[in-house]
Amino acid sequence: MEDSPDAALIRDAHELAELAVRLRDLAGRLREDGVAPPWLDDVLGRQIIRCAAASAHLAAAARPAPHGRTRNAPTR
Amino acid sequence: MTVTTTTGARARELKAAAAELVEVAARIKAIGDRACAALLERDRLRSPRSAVRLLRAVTHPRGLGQAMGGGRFGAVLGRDSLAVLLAVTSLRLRISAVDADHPEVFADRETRAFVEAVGSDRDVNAARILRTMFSGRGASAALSALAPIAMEVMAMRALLDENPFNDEAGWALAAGTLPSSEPLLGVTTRAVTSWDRGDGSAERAQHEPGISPVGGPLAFLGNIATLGNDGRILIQEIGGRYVVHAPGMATGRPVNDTPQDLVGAWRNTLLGDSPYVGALLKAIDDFGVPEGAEVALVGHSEGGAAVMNLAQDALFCRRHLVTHVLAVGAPVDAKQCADPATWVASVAGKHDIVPTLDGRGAGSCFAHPEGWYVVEYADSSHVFPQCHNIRAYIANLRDDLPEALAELESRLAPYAGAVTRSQVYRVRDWARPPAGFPFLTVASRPAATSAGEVDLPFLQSSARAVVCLFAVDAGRLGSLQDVRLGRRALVALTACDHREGSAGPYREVSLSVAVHSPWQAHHLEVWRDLLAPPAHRRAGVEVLERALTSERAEVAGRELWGLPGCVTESLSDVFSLRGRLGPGVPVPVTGTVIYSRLGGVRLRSCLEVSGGARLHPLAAVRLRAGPEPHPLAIRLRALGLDGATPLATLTLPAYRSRLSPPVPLLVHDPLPEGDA
Repeated sequence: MEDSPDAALIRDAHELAELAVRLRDLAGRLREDGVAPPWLDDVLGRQIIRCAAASAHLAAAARPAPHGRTRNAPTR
Repeated sequence: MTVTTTTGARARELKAAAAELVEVAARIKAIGDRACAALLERDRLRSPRSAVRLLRAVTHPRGLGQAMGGGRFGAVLGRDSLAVLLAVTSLRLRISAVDADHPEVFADRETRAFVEAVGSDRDVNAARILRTMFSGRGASAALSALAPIAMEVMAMRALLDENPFNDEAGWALAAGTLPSSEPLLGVTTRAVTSWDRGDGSAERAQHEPGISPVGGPLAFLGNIATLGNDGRILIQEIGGRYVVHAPGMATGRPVNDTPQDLVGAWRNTLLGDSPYVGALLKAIDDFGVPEGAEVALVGHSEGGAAVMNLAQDALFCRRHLVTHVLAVGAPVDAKQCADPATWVASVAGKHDIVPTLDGRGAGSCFAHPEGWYVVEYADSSHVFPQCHNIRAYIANLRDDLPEALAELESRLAPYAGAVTRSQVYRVRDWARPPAGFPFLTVASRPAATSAGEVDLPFLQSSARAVVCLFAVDAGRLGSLQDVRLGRRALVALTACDHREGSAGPYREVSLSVAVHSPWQAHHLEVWRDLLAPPAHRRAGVEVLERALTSERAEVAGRELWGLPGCVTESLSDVFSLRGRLGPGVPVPVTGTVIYSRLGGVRLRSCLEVSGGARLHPLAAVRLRAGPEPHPLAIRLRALGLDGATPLATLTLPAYRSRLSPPVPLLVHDPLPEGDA
């Protein structure tokens, strides 16, 4: 069955959230191993926050369903 | 001299993190692209509120930023794309990896300041530092300082600047793929390499004395050094195996008539097909490399990229067994061999900027293709362009990289024997037409003379001449069918400098008289004849006397055409023309018909001329007969031409000519031979 545009947006929002986590893990790994350059925490930290925020923005942009549920969003 | 070849653990981890970061950046860019595409969907357009929410999501300065195309259109609004910033962070990690392995790069204060300025998008500051570096230490030292991180810096600039056309190149360099445009302005590779056109050609050239008589990696690289960069390649046969040597590009003009030029280097680096590859294929074909034969390809710089292009040509690899590729100082990391069994060795100095032109330099975080033997080293005497020189690579391998050399020698052992056949080829973008094509491309046959054979037609491929026309008393010429102007006949003195032709270089001066057709005098048609091509003319000239500096040319003219003439060491002893020519007017000159006599037979020959001529109507020149008792000088005096001023003067500054073999005419000849 063909995806609705909103379902694709929500899937992308989930992917962005996963990527934010992956970035956070990466930054943590570099920091723990002591190889992170001094600027990395600050720069990457801001980008992780933006990634998480972008995830929320996309999720919010998906059209809400008539009954208060995001249309075509995965049901829980 | 210190040479380091290893990558430290810290650098490895930083590069791995950079690779992961750029992958995340690419995925975020793809999400942004999809979200932007969703903005234009029909459903979305029907719901303005939804469209506005999505527009805000893809442009939010604390979210995706300016996600449209992943570029910098949004920089105008002060909104940076999250994907772009992550890609830049990845590039900065790659630079940090270079710093970890080569602290000497960043020990330089200006290099560090430059990288920081580029990374923080301070264009003016970066440009100022770069200018200081180039003016303070010179271009070579500045390029050497930046070489290990040049690709990362260029990629950052391409991603962060306001030019949307180089974004693709920035993303390609960050992601380790081949860019389809250059990263500075975004000019496409196709546009740049359109200057490098041609099928490639290879002509056999003379053997070079310094070519090694035995095989081996250092011998092969030495052969490339011996060939130089003047458009030559070498193929050797060693015990039934074959080695193709491909030197790099020549310095100087970015475009020349060989494939070894700057645009050729660009093409071979970023594209698979090139005139260089075509030339290599033609040389291999000409050398007679049999099908299924084992072939090793060795190249330096652009030559390395060209031989890798050959190795990734599936058709070539089906015909021949490419066993080894040795690329030195060459941008080959993004290429793949068609035959997975081909053993590839790449040797590159980290301060050499050329191997990084495919986007993969010292900071590259992308693995080489599996099975490659890669030697990347930093030479402490790193100065570009000297470190790119093939002789520098040979010295490094021989003196500083014994393990690498041993590995190369071991792998290339099958090619280590005595060379049984060797051929140098001159390669060009296009096959050259024969000299003088098309005018001088005619069927020829040898004709025997007492001074040796000459080819007929008699050709001059490079000559210049001056022609002076005089009117002389017709009574002094005897009973010729000369063209008359009242009681006067028209005589031409032609002085030629034949620089290249059938009889070699020589000079000639001839005195001839305009004559009618042997059958009938057409007093009016003779002038119309002047406009016709020589083959269609009835009127022509009859040579009265000649003086030449070449015995071969004199003998050929006398024995084959029956032309009178004498050899002299210097034409200045025979005649002189002094004065000024004045301005010239272009006039068409196609040649003439020459009538002569040989053995009592009247002969007709066409002299066809190709090249511009100028008529000098205001020429003020005076002819003087020389003091020597040369027959021509005597004839000039006899005709009253000593001290004469010509009616008209023509010059032919550069022309080619062909004199057809003489055709016997079946007419009653009123004059005995030599009476003219």
